[in-house]
Amino acid sequence: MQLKHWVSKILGYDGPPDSKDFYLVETDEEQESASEDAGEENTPSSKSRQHKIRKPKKTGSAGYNNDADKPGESSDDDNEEQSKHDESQREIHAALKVNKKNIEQLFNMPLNKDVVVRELTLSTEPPVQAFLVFMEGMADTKLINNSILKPLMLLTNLDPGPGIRPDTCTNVLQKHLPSNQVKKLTLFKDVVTQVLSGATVIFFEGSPCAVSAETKGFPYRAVDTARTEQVVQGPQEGFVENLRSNTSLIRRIIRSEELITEYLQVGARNNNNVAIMYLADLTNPDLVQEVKRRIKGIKTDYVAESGVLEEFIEDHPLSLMPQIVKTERPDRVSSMLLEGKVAIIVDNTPFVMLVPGLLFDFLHSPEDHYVRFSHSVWLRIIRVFAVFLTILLPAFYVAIATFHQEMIPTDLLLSIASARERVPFPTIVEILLMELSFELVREAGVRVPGIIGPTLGIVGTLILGQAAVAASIVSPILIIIVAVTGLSSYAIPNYAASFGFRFMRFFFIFLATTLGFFGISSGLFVLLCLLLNMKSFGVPYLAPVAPKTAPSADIIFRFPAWQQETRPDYQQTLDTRRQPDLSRVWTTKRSKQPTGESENKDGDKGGNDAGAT
Amino acid sequence: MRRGSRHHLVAALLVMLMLLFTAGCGSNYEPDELSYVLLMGIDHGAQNRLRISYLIAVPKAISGPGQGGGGGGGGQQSASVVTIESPSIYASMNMVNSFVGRKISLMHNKGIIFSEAMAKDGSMGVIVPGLTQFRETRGTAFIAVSRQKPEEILAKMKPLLETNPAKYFELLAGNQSFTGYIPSEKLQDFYNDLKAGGINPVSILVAESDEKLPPHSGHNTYRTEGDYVAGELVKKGGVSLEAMGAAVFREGKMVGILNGNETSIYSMFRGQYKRRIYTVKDPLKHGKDIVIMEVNQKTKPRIKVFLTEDGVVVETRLYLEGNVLGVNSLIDYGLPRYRPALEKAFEELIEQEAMKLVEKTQHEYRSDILGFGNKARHLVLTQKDLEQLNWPALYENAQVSVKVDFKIRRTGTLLRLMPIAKSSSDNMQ
Amino acid sequence: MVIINQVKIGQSEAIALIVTVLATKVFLTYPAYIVSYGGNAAWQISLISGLVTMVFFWFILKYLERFPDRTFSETAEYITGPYLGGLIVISVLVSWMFEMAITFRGFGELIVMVALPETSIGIIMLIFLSGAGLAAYLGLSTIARACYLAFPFTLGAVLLILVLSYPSWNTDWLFPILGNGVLETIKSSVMRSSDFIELNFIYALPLVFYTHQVKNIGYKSIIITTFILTMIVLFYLLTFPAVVGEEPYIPLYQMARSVYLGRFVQRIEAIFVFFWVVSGYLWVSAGVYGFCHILTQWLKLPDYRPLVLPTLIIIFAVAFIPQSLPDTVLIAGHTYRKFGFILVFGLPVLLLLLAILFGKGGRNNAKG
Repeated sequence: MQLKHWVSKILGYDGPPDSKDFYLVETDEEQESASEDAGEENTPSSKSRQHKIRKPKKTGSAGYNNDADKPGESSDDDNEEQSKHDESQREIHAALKVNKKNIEQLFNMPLNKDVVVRELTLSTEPPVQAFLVFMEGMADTKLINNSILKPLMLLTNLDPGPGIRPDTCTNVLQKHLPSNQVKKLTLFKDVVTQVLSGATVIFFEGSPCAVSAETKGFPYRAVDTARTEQVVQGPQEGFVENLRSNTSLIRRIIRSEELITEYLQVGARNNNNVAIMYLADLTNPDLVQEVKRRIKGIKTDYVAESGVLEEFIEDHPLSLMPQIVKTERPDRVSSMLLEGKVAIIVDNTPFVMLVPGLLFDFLHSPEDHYVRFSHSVWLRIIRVFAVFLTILLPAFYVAIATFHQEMIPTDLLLSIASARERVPFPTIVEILLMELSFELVREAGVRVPGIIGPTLGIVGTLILGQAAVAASIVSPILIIIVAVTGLSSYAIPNYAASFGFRFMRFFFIFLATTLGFFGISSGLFVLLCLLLNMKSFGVPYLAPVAPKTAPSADIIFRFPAWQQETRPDYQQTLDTRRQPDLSRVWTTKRSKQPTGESENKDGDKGGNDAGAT
Repeated sequence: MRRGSRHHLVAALLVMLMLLFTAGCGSNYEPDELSYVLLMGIDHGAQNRLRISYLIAVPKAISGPGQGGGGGGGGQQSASVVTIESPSIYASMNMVNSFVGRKISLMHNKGIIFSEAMAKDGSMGVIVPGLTQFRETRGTAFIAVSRQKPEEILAKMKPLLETNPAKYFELLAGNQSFTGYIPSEKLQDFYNDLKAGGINPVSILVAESDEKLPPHSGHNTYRTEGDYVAGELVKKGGVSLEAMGAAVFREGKMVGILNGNETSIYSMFRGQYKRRIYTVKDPLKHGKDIVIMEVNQKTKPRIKVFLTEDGVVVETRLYLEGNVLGVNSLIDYGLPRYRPALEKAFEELIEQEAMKLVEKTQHEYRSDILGFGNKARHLVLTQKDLEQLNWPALYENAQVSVKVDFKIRRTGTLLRLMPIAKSSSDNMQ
Repeated sequence: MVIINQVKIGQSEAIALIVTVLATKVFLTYPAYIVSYGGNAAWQISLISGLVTMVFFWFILKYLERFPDRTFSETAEYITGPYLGGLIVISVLVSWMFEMAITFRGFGELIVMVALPETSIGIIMLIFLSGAGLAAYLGLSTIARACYLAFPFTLGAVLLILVLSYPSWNTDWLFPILGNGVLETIKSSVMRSSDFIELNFIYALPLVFYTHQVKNIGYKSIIITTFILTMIVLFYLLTFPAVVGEEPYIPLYQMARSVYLGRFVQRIEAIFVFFWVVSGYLWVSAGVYGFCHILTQWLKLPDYRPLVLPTLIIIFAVAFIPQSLPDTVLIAGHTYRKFGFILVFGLPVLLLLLAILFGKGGRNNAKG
């Protein structure tokens, strides 16, 4: 049965694709100069249907309750959840008692010790009963004491009020709450969200609404240096787990009113906050729309981290290459926002995602823009070279040593042959042995406690390699090959891309062992075709190169900053120009000193230049 | 799970490849499964058609000590000679593998040495095309004719400095660029010259050394450095081999040899000459005094072929430059007064030698090794006309004139030559 | 019945595709062939055959201008009626398949010779076909983009071979300048315009190009290809005398083998395997795609992809019909490559003439 399924999968045909892919539309004019294929790579959606059938739901509703209709299973637990669900949809009652009961039920009160309900009486004439709810550990208790309890309990009497009234909420909100972020809530659903995110919600007798005041105060890591993407020259700050800190880090760099932050929630159980940031007058609205559509279209109960979200929203989850840029660095995010990308920030993650992520984005490091032009060109060349070494060097060695010995200089060949004299394995086993031990060293180096890490690296590489050679298990040249490959893989600035390339090399090693250079070139061709066929959020993966778009100033070579006049064409930005052709006005006549401003406006279609301060 | 079926396809492909890998594919050999032939000797067989000798590298010895723990004995031979009689070259490879464990491979065969007998009866011209057809052979292997048995020559390949005989032979052949005593002829050049009308091939001449120094008799004579052929050098030590001069072929048969000087002239005509030391007699002070110069070719020679009623006229011009390195007579050839004399004398010398060589090829060897026939291609418009021209016959009666243009450009490191202090005030300059 | 996904490829990618498809034959026997026809004047044949092809292309262009927005099969059926039109399409398909299978076999033999002398050709061709089939399955835009990406590298590699062989250059080999005579050269040139028969890609798949760009694409591709072919033949002749130049199966391989730049840079031919193989893949995948595409349009099928696998199997079977390598080359060279141009370039001319005769197309080009 399984076999039949596979055979029909491989040989059969599912019928024409019936779902349309998203792609960033170009104007007709552009479309002619460079090609774009629309929805060529669709797979029928019957696939996903089938998937559903094969994996029946096991227990319970995973948290997304919209389709929770299970008459058979009516355990207490389920019932409670069901009723709780109804509860949260309910509007806030005027009677304080009812509200309190609701709250207690919603938060599993006697059981859940983290939720605190504080009853109080407003010092008005006549006194009004009220209570506030907050989450212990999420809210700053000092802040609650000073800016909520104190004004409500002590200071309200200065302003004699008329007693229980339905507009107490508004009243309090406007006159008595010296908190900077306050909101009026009418639904219990919102109350729950607010309390869970650290706010304090206050209910008043006789008013059908509640006031939530921002009292977030939970422990989080302070802004630290970036750990995975280090630069020599340039800002050292990295993102932290706290979403708000992260958005503020970005906002600090792009001081523009057009920088929009939108919030979405993902994960039915953990209600994780996801922020989407983009420049309203720059980013293609279709792209923003698509990002929101994909994030909203996720039905799952737990999205812990940006990596999980990445898997849910990327175009080709099975590909070895990442299609979403993940970075720790606010400066990189902001520079990419200015290229027209959209940033997706998941709470509790120090990594911000940027879409679309294209192959060349993964080869760029923020440092390329901070060092001098000539250095950056050299850095980029080294990096491209490193990519090829990572993918091909071991395969190349295997192919040359076992298929194309005529290529090697005679002396080198003879020394390879003599080094292999006492090695008992074929070259492929040798190289796999060493590559696997290298992977082991790498993996172990990540997992071991911090202090031992470097030691392990030394032990792993030096001693293991030396011993392997001494024991005649591998030949010494191979150690060089493996070491250089390992080094090159770390020269690739993006972790995910580097992993992808590193993994690919095993395919190439196998191809080289089987078919020599023919195998390698076949592999390269297939790789090329698959990469060309990929898309990230509607943009072809190899975008500025294939399909050919308007020349970009930053692919392999980074042009000097004053020559980077346009934004990447493939992003289809609303404002295509970064700067006028003459960006260094001072190089022209002396007299025209202050006219840079007006020229700048000429170049801009969208009016405000986001980067201008 | 979108694009699923394509991934299945890829997966199926990969599975196929894995199967292939386990099945093995046939064309691959581990580097230590092959025995690398570094040089090859070909001779007539005593019983079978051919006697083939292979100089097979011993990798362990060549890559030297320091490898691994115990391996690599110092006194081990870096290569050893294997000789076998067989009906053909490729068959001999298989036959050698009946007693050599590793598969014989010609991939790193850097030189092919034929015996003089093979060259003379034309067998070499038959074998060479067959050699180029094989995938493993290098077209860039050097081709040589040996005056002794090739297997003996190969046995003598115990280089003084190199551990690798192939490196030794490649460097030896490469020395052409600064000695000019041997032609720069690789297998593919030999093949091209053999097939193309209008030029005949040559090859390097090698021979075993005598290794005997004659006793001093009190007087010696002046003999130019190129006036030797391989096997005649008076030398001792180093490798008991010499490469000097060239073998001349006509229609695939060896018809004669050139000595070192003639080979230099030959190279000048072919444009392959780079530089060489010339020791010539002092033109101004006859006697024992000599002038030592380094002579290099300035530009490629200009060769013009005309068709007249009397036959073909070939006008050639060689452009040489000199660097005076030593003057016994202490005449300052840097001075404009003396320079033309030396230049003229050298021009005449080369012209004479060149004329002699041309005549030799015209009448004695009847072989156009100098490639004038190639220039004759300019005379006609179509291939048919070229065939009607019958160049070999025309060449024998061609009137060749050689003009040498020699200029002294510098005089070593010195600007002036001052006389040696002498007790009597003998005014030399 | 809706034809889905009418891909269009832009100008630069189209040129890269056409040039790759046209010029890939230099990796096979092409230079040796040309030399066998033209001797010392072989480069003139390449040049003139390019010019001749331009004349043919002018007809193709006129034909395409008369029938915009129509597939090849539609046009053929429109002009000559469904039965005769079908016959025309079949003839194109059969010749296409033949050309593809023979060249594909040629590539298989190339790989055996250059890289894997002891491997069974069946395995090599199976893998080759799988890769090409995958690319064809992914679609024309992928192939065209791959061509566009690979083109500069391939061209660079070829130039490298040409330049590295400079120590063996000898201008005398180019003489006598007229080779086998002017008449002979021109006659061969017209015949060798068969080397451009892959141009039928343009008229058989007219809808993948933007109509107003076809002219540019065609002429530019022909010019670039002619230039590349002429340069390669010229440098090939500089390196080998004409007699020797006729001999090898893969002349460029022979040239790469002859590179000798000191003791360290020699025998580098294996490096070029990459470019040969990738070009071969592109050629075959473009061919497979084209074949399936024409068939799809003719049979009015919704998608070409189900046809890819059967096509591959047929190619594989046809490719093994010739018994040996020399047979393959002889069939390809001496029969098909000699008179192929009559069929391939004659067809649009014929259709054009018929269309003018019947007064079809042009302003009357309404789909009905």
